[in-house]
Amino acid sequence: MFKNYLQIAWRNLIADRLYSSINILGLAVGLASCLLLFIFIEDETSFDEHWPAAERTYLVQTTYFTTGAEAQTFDVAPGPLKQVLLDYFPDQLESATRMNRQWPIVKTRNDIYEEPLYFADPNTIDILQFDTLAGDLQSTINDNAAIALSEQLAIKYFGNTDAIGEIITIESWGIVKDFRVGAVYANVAHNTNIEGLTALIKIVEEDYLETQPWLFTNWGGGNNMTLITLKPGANIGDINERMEQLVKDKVIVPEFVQETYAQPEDWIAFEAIPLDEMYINQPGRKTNIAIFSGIALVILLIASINFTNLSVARSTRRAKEVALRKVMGASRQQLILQFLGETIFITVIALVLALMLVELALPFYSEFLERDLVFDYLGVNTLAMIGLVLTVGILGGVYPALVLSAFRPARVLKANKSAETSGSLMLRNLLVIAQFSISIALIVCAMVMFAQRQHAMNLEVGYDKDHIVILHGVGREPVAQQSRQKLLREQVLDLPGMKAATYINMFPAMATNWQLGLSFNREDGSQFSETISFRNVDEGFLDTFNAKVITGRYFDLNISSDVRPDFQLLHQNPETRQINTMVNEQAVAHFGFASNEDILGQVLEYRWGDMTIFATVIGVISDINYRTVRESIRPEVYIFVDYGGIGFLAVRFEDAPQRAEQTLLRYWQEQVPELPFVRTYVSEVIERDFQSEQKQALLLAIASSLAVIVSCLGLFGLASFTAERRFKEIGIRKVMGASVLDIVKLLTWQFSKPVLLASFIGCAGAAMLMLSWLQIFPYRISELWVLGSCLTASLLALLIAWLTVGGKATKVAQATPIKALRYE
Amino acid sequence: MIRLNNLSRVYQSNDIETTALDQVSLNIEQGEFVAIMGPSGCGKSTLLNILGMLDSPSSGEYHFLDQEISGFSERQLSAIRKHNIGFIFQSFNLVDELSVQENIELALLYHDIPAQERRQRVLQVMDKVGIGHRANHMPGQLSGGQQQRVAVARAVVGDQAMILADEPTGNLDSAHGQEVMEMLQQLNKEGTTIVMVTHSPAHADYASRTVNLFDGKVVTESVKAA
Repeated sequence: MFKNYLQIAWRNLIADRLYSSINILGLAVGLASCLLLFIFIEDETSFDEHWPAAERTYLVQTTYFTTGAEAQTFDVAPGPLKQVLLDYFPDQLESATRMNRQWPIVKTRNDIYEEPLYFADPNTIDILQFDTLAGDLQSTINDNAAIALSEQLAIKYFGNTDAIGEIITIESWGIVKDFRVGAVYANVAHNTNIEGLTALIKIVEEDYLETQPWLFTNWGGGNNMTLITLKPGANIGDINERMEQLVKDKVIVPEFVQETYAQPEDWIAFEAIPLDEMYINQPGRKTNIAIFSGIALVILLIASINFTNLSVARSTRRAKEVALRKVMGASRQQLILQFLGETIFITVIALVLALMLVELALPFYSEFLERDLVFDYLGVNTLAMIGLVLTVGILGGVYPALVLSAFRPARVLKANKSAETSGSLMLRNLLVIAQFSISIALIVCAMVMFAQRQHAMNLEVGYDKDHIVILHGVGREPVAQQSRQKLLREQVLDLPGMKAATYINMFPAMATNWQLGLSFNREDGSQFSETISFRNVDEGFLDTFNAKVITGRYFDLNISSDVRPDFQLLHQNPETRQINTMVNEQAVAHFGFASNEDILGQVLEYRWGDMTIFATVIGVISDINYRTVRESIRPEVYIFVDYGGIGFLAVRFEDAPQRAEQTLLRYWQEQVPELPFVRTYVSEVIERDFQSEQKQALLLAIASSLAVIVSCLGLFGLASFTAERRFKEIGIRKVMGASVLDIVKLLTWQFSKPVLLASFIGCAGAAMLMLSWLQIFPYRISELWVLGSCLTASLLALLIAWLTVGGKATKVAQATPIKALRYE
Repeated sequence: MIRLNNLSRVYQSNDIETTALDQVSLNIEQGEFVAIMGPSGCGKSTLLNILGMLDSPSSGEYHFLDQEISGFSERQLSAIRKHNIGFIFQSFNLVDELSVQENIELALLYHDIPAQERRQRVLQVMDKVGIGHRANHMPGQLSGGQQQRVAVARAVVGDQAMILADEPTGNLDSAHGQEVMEMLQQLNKEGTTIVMVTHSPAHADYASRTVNLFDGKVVTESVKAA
């Protein structure tokens, strides 16, 4: 019997080649898309799960409390904490390590680089896992003068992985040392929070004792990623509960904050969080996963609808077979099993095709997402595939199975025709409506996301974003000194095509924010107290960023109170804590002043570590969107600095970027040969800022295109089926004088109705979703854009539906009518 | 009205050639009632389809209202057909999804006639064939005789000059068959040219001329004495 079922299933597949191909291809595309999105989601949720004791590994976060400002939490901790933890929790901790990321200048035989590297404790290689390709990693990480390179960095520096014994000179925090390459390890998988594990050097605390003790040996600093591994059975909750006591018992409040924080627990707190949950808990990640899971499900749903729809359509032609089987004694259960078995059989074929598509698409997909993605055929994926086959197969087969198996054989055999029922017709229409509603909604979402991204990227930020380049490395020796920085700026301004230059500590167009606690007494006696963004500026700030002084005056280097004194001087001499300051227009309104003039002369109190600086407002600067355009312009205060130690130089140029870069490169190579020339364009930063949206929008566009393709495949199948079903009617109409165009219009209109209804449903849903999504952007496209996208998507869907159905309808309409009328 | 000169129709399927009509020459005058008879497979229906421009001859001439139409395009043929020819089929060929009224209206739908006038003419013709009381019924709810009446109504609603009937009584019992034949006779008396394919000598008797076909050829023609 089973053989007979299989034979019939196979012959039906072959006999109805068109339907079979549409059915299998549509389902395969849907399954492949779903699997690809599943691979991405699996990757997103797999961060840091591959380490040897991942489930017992935690990262210690540090929270600093600041009077008058919000507490801030960081993923790094002070240097002494590691040992304190090991001593404090000897029964619970198996091991602990520190990883200190630095951006040193790296000199190889041939070149010079600015490169992020990890200085780490030796047991890092026990907690994390590295595959050694050459040399001995264990001895290297225990060697004060050795470095382990990743395959990627070895190739970058030496052209191949055969780098053992090569010497690299590293200059970091003013310490210059030579390191011998002792090991090369395979590139670390991308799915880790520990960014850029490209090189490892042993932490040698003694090297920094004199000059940078805060790095590893006292509590003043906090830039060591601190990982702990628990002993099996130990409870992280217990450890976290005792952290406050640890702070009380062990932490020594550094001198520079002792005035403000008498007790360490008022200043600092620690908490260990699971390393493998860090990534997924970052803001937006879970939403992202929800979005992509949603898209995957939607595509699968569309493919399943397609499959069901075509199965229902096709099954009505098998009424006679069912009736005969019943006459021969088949039970209803047997028939249900037969039809379900057939749809599962087709699903398996589609899955095999889908897996081939996945393998073909994976290299491009990985490149697009900048990840090394692989599809693991074992484990959870096998279960997922079996689940997919059963779900889709049963979904697609259950309705036809139930309806067909319930036919009364005598009626079907007597009628000797297809068993199209009004129920199956209505179900098919409903499914087409559902399919197109989803497809249209996806198109609208993709269009709105693209438009918003374009809008944000082209937004007027207030400065010439296409003509500002940022030079790195100016905060390093030998240019970090005040006089040298001043000279460098002057020399750059003398270069042809350079219009303005200013030293900055933060890149424009990035969310990074420096804040200070600000307070002052209002006229009515109440106090304003808040954390406010601040920016260090110099002489070149206004010119470089096209900012204007609206009220009052700009800072003047010749007025001593305009210039913020050196940090040490401020600390040593309280009298120097009276300075001048400026604010932007937003700040004037935010602080509650009626006009720009009203704020002039107002004394603001800035909290700076344990000091209070008294800053008198001397002027108001026009608002510019210096930070990311994701956020509206914030209130800001400006502090004037007179060069020295600032990290970046922003240069505004008038030429084409390539020409300006050449000029700057030549200058740099002549004047600062000790440092690599590293530059970033502001336009690049803005583009990078929107990269994730861009990719999301693109992925959504691809997903919606696939959804539309699959829907249209289904529509084509249905159009073919309908044309066949209405063959006699078409013949009659032609005999009555209907032209080819009349018939095409008749059939296309039949399919236009559900698509029009779907447009309404899809657009309404997507518009609501997108209008609420747009609210997160302070600068967003107008609502009319959403309306426009809805109209475009609807027209597009209708057009595609017409093209899909029109072709088939024309073919049928051109057929000679007697064929239809001869046989009944 | 119709003049066929050496008209042939050859069907080709794979390597087999079947001659359905072989050098047929035939004239049909306006107002005639012609019955075409012959055994199964002799080419009766093929001849009727060619007369109705639903099929094209392989060779020979076909003059319709003094126009040689064998080289006409589908669009031209469709235009001639819809203004001049009505069809009645053995199996009625009604659209199952349309009501009686809508099925009859179908014949006027492609004539650029205003809806109001269409309805008017449909009502008139329904009364004429006695099916007015079933106007809103679906074909599936009617008896065979009633269905064929609807088909007749559809064939005449456009005031066509000629009706081609392919075994119009083949699916009916004798009483209903007679009813339909009387209807056709009445239409012929009113001036409509009728060409009918039939197996029944009794029904052929209603015609003024009988053409006998055998193996695609006209073998005899007999004219009924007035």
